[in-house]
Amino acid sequence: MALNIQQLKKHRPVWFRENSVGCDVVLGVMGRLVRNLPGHAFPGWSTAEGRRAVADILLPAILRQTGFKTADCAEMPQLDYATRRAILERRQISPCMAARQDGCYLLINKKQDTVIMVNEEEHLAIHSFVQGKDFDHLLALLERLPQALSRELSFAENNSTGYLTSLPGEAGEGIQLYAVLHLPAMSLSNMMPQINRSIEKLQLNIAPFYPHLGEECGNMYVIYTNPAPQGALEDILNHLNTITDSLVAREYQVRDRLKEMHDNGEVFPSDRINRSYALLRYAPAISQAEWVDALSLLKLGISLGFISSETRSADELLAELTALQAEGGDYSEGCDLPPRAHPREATLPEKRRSTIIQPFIHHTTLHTAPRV
Amino acid sequence: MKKCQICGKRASIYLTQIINGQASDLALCEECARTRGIFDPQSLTFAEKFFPEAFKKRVDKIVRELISKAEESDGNEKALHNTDFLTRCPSCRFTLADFRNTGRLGCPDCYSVFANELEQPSEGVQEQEGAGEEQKLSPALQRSRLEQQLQAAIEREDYETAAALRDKLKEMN
Repeated sequence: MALNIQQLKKHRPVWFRENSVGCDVVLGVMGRLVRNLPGHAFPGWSTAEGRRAVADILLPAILRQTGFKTADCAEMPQLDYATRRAILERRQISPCMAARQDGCYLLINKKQDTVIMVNEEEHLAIHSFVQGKDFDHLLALLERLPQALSRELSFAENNSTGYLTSLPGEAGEGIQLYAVLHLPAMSLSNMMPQINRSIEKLQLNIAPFYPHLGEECGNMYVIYTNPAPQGALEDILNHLNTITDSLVAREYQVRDRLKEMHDNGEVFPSDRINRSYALLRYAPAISQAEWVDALSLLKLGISLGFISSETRSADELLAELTALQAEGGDYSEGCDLPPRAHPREATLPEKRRSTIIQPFIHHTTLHTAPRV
Repeated sequence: MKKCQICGKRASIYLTQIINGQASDLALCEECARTRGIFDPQSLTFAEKFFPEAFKKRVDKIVRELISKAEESDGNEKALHNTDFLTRCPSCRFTLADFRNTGRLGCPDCYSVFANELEQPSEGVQEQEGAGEEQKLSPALQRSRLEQQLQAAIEREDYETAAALRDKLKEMN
């Protein structure tokens, strides 16, 4: 079946599904697994014919596997700009894949927990997503397809290096792990520059979840490992697990501190949260960066008990808005911006606000009313 | 980052030579520059030190030689390096120069074709190893080594390196 935004909107990305109480910091984890076929040039060096030859081998084999027989499949030129942007902003594909053309294919399974890219940077790249911090489930999900494929195909590997990749430094297990974290309390407390430096020293990487909106926009971050060398997957997994646990513990410590500050009569935390509430409720036009920030602080407010919401969750809104922002034109409706205006500048017009944000905000109660 | 036009390592010395109004850029690593006697003050004669014109002639000679070598190698990729391994992958036609420019390989077979190149430790690793060795030295020894390097930098009129070394020494104080 062809891929389009309506198909994508059927499932929320794991990052925006409601988390169980006490686990709203690690929104989800992602794994990336890559494999190449021997005897074929890597996609970055091959021609469109070469890429199609690889796809002719991989696609039928993938579509024969359980769970992928009914997967949505498209050659990249069939996908319009808006769909590519939607998939990219949901962090389901890499920026490299979003720019690919002839001979490159994208497959998404029905549950949308596994995305397969044929001829991305490597012949086969698989992204799997799991809600929360369940790395065991993630690895099982990630390795299911290549294990099944290895019964009928052979992948390029050698004994000393492991699985071969187009970048020699990434050869090995062919697996990279990511965790998406929501750290609003640490961001509010200006701790992120320090956290960034520490994470780099610990041989991990950190990037903003919305790189196109700015460093700290939405207070969501992606912590990720380097590709695992041969035999080092378990160590790397344990390392990421430990660091993620420490960050979660630290975030909750800072949240407790914010609550303490509020209880002691300091206005700082509730002031920021109430301003976000007011922005969502009263601002006639909101830019993407503003609503991502405001919703993040509202989620913090809900977690701290400053706010309660009776109807839709902030996560649900974020998911809807993320899918919507990819529709491009919707955001320029009612304002003078061209359809592909820079997302930071694009605003959500009043008409859309009235159907998306207002129903949420009108059923949200602010418990920290300003003192007169 | 430019690479040495002789050995492919990271270049740290850049030469812009203008001959008959035509500018040519050369990038060399310190080792290659030193083996060709360009920047090693020990290899300069008394006359070259005190008569800059003589030194300039010598540099001109070496630079011309390097330019002609570089032009020759541009025209014939097989002569790029006098090494004993292949410079082009027979499966995908990816060359060693492509690898050095992009850091990527063309196909899985390139791993065996460019095995020698891949086995060399990367620049980052070399730098880390260098830094590790430096850290192993006692502070006094580090200081005397830095002072020697500073002296050598001043003698070869490499004021940029000299300033960096001077700052390092200040930090140590």
